[in-house]
Amino acid sequence: MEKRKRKKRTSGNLATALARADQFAYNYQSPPGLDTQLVDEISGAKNEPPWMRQLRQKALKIFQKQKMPPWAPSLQDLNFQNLRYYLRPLPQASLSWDEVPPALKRTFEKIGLPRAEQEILAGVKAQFDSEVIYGSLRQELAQQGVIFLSMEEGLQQYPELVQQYFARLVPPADNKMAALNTAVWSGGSFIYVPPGVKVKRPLQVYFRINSESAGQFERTLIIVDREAELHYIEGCSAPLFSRASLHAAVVEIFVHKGAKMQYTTIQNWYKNVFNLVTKRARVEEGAVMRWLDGNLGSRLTMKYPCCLLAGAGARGETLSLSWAGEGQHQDLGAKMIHLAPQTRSRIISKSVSKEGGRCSYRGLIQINPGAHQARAKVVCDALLLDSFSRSDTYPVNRINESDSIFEHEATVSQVGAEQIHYLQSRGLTAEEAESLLVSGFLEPIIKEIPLEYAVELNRLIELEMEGSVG
Amino acid sequence: MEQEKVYLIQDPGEDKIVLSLQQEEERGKIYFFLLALQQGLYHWQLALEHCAARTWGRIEVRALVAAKAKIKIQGRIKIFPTARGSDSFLNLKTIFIGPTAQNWLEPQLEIETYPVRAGHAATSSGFDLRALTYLRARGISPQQGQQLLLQGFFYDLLKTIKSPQLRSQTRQRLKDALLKVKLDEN
Repeated sequence: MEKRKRKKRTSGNLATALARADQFAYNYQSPPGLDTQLVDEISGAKNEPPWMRQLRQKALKIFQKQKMPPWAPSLQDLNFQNLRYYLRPLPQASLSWDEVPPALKRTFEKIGLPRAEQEILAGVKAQFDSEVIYGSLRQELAQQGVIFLSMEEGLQQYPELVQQYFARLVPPADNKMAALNTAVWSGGSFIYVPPGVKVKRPLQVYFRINSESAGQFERTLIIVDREAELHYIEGCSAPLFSRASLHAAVVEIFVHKGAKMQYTTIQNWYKNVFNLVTKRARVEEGAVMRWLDGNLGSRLTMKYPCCLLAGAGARGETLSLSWAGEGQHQDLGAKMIHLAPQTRSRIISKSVSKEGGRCSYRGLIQINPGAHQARAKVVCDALLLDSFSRSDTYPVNRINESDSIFEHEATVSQVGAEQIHYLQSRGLTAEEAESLLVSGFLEPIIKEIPLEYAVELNRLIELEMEGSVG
Repeated sequence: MEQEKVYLIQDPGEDKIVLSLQQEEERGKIYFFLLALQQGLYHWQLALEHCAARTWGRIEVRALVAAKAKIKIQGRIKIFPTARGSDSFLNLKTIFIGPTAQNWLEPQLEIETYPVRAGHAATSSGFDLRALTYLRARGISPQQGQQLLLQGFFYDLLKTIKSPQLRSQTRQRLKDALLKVKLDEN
C-alpha cells in the first residue's frame, strides 16, 4: 500500500526558515573525530582547572570502552568518527545583543528570542554550536544573588561550588553518552538560586546546531537552594542536512529543602539529529521537581528524565509529550526513584505516531525499602494515526516497600471515526477534525507550558497534521 | 469460542507462558494466580501475541507476596501488523503481606498496526488493614476477616472463568492455599 504523501506549507514558515543553515565564518572548527588531544585542546581553550581536565580524560576512556545498553535503538547511521566535536562561532560571548554578529542574530530573531527576553523572561542564553554567544539576566535578580552563567563562566567564577556538584548526579560511568558529554562538554548553563529567592519569570536557553555532522554537548548544572523557586526553559533547532548530527547533553539539578523547580524542554531538532540526553534531579525534603518535556523533532531521541526523591515528602513529576513522524523514533520516558518516606511521583506520557513514526515509552519506578507510604502513579496514552506507525510501552516497576502504593496504566488507541464524523457534521473538514482531536489529546500537557510557548507548540503540531487525512 | 488458560502458582521458580492467537477473531485469556508465600524468586513471563485480525485477548494476574518472597512478572502484549482490529488488555494486581517482600512488574506493549484497542494496568499495595479493622468492628475474627479479604481479592477474577469445571477446581485450590496465609507472622 502506498504511503500517503503529506503536503506541508513550505513557504514563509518558521520551520522552513530554521531549516536553512546560517552562513558565516567560524572562529574555530575542530577536525572530525575524537581523541585525547582534542579533549586537552577543549580544556585548554577554556582555561580549566586540572581536576576538570583529568575528569574529561577519564570520561573519554570510559566512553571508548562502554557499550550502549542492549535495549537501545540502533545508532548504526551515526558515525562518531565523522562528527566535529567542537565548533566555536565567536572568540568570546557578546556582552549585549547589539554586539552579536548579524549572521548569528538572524536565527534567534526568527524564534523571537529578543522580544521574549524583553517581555516575559527573567534571563536568556543563546548557544550556537559549541559555545554560548549571548546571555543576559535581569538586574534585580542578579542583586538578589541569582547566578545565571554559561557553564564555562560558572567554572571560572565559582570553582568550588561547581566542583562540589559537577558530575555528582550523573558521573561519567553512568552511561556511554554521559561519558562522551563529560569528555567534550561545552556550553550549557550554570544556575544558582539563593535560599528563599523566587524567580517569578522563566530563564530560557536556546540551542542551535548550525553545522553539518556536528556534535553539541552542553552541560547544565542548576542548584535551587532552600525554599527557592525557578522555572527554566530550553528550546532548540538545527538545519536540514543529510548527514547525522549528535546532541548529547547532561543536565544535573539539585533541589534543596522546600524548593520548587520546573524544567521545560521544547525539542524540535531537524530529523538528522540524534538526541541522546541524560537528565537527573535530586529532590530533598519537601521539595518539588517537575520535568515538562515536549519532543517533536530529531531522528532518534533517547531521554528519560529522572528524579531521585531523597528527602521525606519530596515530590517528582514528569509530563512528557512526543510526536513521531516519518523516519522518527522517540524513545522517551521517565524515572522516579523513591528513597524516603511519604514521597510522591507522577508520570504522564502522551505520544502520537504517524506516517511510520515510532514512539516508545520506557520508564522506571523504584520504591526502595524504607520509603514508607510512598505513592507512585504512571499514565501512558498513545495515539496511532495510521497502520504504518508503531507504539511501544516498556515500564519497569520495582516495588521493594510493602507500605507503598503504586499504580500504572497505559492505552493505545486511534482517533475515532465517529468523533471525526461528528465534527465533520459541524462543518469541519476531516483534516481539521483530526487535528482538533489530536490537540485535545495533548492538551493536558500543553496547558502546563507557559502560554507563549504553548501557542507555538500547538502551531507546530498543526503543521505536522497538515495533509495527514487522505 | 474463547480459550482459557488458568494457572495457580505457589512454588518459587521460573517459567514462561505464551498465548498466540493465530486465527481471525480468535479469543483467548490467561488467568494467573500467584501465591508467593515461600522465600525465593518467582519469575514469570506471560506473553499474548495477536497474529491475526480482530483477535481478542486478556491476561489477568492476581498475586500475593509474603515476606522474603520476590516476584518478577513480565507481561507482554504484542500486536503484529497482520492483526488489525485486535483488542487486548493486561491487568497485574499485587498485594504485599510482608515488610520485606519484593515486587517487580514489567507490563509491556508492542503495537504495530492500526486500528487496535490495547492497554495495560498494574497496581501494587499493602494489605488493607483498615478494611480488616472494619470487619473486626462487625464481629468477625481477624483470621476470618483476613480470609474474606484475600478471597475477595482473588475471587473477583475467579468468577469470570467461563468453564464451570475450571472455575470450581481453581476455587478449591485457592481456598486451600489461602488458609496457609498467616498475616500475623509477617
